[in-house]
Amino acid sequence: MIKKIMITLITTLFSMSLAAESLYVFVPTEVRANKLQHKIGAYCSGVDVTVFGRAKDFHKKIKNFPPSAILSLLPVIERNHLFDPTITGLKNGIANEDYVLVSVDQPLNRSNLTNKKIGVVDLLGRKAMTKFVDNLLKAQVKLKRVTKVEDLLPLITFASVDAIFISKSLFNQLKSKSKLNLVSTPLNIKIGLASAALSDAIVKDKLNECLFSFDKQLNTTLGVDQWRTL
Amino acid sequence: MAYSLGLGIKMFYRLTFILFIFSFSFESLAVNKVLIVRGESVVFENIISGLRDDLDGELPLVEMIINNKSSSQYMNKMFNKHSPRLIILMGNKAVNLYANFQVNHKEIDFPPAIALAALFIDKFSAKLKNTTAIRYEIPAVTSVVTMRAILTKPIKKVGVIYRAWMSDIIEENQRYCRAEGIELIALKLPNEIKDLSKEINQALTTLNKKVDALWILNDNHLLTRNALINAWLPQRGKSKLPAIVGIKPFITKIPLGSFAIVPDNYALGAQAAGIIFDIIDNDWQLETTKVQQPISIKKYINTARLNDKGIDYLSSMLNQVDEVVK
Repeated sequence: MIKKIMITLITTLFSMSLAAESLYVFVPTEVRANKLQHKIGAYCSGVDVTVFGRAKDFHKKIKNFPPSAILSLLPVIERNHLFDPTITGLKNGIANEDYVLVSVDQPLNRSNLTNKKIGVVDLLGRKAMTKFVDNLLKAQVKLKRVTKVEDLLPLITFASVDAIFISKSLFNQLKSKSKLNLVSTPLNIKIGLASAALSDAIVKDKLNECLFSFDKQLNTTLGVDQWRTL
Repeated sequence: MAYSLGLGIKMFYRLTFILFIFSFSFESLAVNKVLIVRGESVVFENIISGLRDDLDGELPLVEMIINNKSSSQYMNKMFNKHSPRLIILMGNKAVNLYANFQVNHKEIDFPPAIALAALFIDKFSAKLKNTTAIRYEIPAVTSVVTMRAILTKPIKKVGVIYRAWMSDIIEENQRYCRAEGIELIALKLPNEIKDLSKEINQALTTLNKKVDALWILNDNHLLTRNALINAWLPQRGKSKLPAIVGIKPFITKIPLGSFAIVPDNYALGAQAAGIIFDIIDNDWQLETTKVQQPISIKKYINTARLNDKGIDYLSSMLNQVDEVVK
């Protein structure tokens, strides 16, 4: 009996210590989640890294098995109140980037977006994402969410949407991939870049060590060029 | 005593109120059931997984598993039992069964339906009332743009062999490709072909001289065992052109192509969920019955075959591929 209790205690303590060293990553990119996980894992020894390709899986896992740290875009971090932002990603010294509406041939009229079909990569789930985008665009749009970044181009290719709501950097990537006449509508909307947040301050040093060691290519994949402690 | 009696009456009213609210909720749930008609297949289960995740419990799903013996009566029984507000048809069997059901039950006011994972759905969807669909075939433009991003050599002309009945689909594909700066050179064969191997040999010989890559359709009538052995595989063995195929075994076990671009079934379910929410927002009416294109794909690449043929590719792009066959 005592032996059983001891084993249970040790197992519990062991799994708690593992959970305390876990990092969940959800940053939409064209790189497959398993490849990104392998790459990040190589820089974060001793941390159990899980990369998610879909918002749904990320939020579900956080709810059921909360990690000690998360790495995601700022709107996702802000939604998860259990985590304190500790590190922010920067690009050209700035912690956020411009977002635009991208359409084919004709730019959208900024003042007439109500009921327009807008494509977007899902970050927060249906209801939260609709609210988030409506607030940003200051209009009630018909949101078409996709699970992967690469699905945005087919959305406008097949005219399933009037425009896609993406970062300026992604717009540049799309222009290099596609020969469609892609045009943008500037919005004066900025969204925070990838950031890290903790639920347990104990792992702060380990997380710092891990993120600050990322190479240039990995940072570019995550949409930043350096990290800064908050 | 009076106090406890008063408390009892209060509790009674509260319970009645809660029961009323619950019964109202169950009533509305019962009204908004989604009936999924499908055969037994892992593909369909993946689609349902995406559908279920995206619907997030907002609508109850009822599954009707069918086989070759399933009849119109079975569907009638499910309609009577569940009074579905929306129908999801998965696969050609489900589409055919529902088409028969509609013919045999003209008195029914059919709810909106969405057909998924059915091959060449354009041939059937027009026969179905109040039905939209998402094609299962990945459009050429999606596949070619994906391949173009990985290969170093420019891809401007892509060849395809098709049967006459697909002319409309091919024309639509040519239009989409044109917008991406790709010329889709299509060789038409008759619907019924006497000497298939000879026709395929001739068509491939012609195309090999004109194009930068091939797009091979998933048409069982063109990819018969005999035609594969006597035409497709010998021609593909000699050719230095990259080819896109629609199923993974054609880049692994059967050396037909080097890129397999296939539907992402989970995402297909999520795409269908998007249509369901549009239907709900539109007061349970379909906005359009027009067949929609699939948005999401899975990419497989055989780099060993590309290397054998001396086709250069960007290694840095391989991390955007679901699986690399070496």
